[in-house]
Amino acid sequence: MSDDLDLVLASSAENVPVVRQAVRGLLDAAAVKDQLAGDVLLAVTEACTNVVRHAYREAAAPGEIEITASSDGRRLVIAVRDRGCGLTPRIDSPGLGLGLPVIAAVSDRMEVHDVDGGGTLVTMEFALAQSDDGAG
Amino acid sequence: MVVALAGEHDLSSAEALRESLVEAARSPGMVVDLDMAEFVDSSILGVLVQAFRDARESGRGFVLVMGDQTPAPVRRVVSLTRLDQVLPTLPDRQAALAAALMPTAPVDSE
Repeated sequence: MSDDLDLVLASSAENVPVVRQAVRGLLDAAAVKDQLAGDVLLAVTEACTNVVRHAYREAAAPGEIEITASSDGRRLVIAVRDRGCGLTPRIDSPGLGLGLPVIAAVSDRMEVHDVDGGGTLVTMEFALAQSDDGAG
Repeated sequence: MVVALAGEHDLSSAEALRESLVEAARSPGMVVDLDMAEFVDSSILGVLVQAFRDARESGRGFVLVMGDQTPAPVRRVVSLTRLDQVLPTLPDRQAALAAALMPTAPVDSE
């Protein structure tokens, strides 16, 4: 996958499908499809939804979502970062709390970090199908 | 009443769906058909769970339509989150409508 992704968008619900469409373009270009493509799109959507719902809830104005994607052909790594309030418990959460569990379930590796300077970084890794041995 | 989701749904359409389901809840039974939905995420599942809770508390039926004909990404997220073990689910719309219209006693969620 040569066309990596580097997106910065306003943290808004309307931009969640925008991010998904951008990632879909990346997957299409790399011929990633079926369940793996669906899993990547679901994970990215959940990560961005978490940012929109939680990251800037105490901020005067919505911040940004930063999305990067890169691949070495064997694995796809997508990072979703915000500069919001970081990992904090929320007893008034509007959702089911399934976002991170879903990401963990569909990705091969997931890391969630507080970031120096504020915010949260969610990194998701997906193994891509091997295609250079004729097996796929 | 049947509410059929078509296309992709996420946080950007969750509020509109919630409003549609509130409107649909005025009928005796509600069916949410996922057969034409191509993508749903956990924010949409949250709306469905809330609609189910509201229906149960008011003694109205709520049934989800989902089966082999439902697009795979939708079936996958429902299965991953085990929502099909929480919400009444049938593979056929007519059967779901019949089930949703069966009288039920109100149930307190808490």
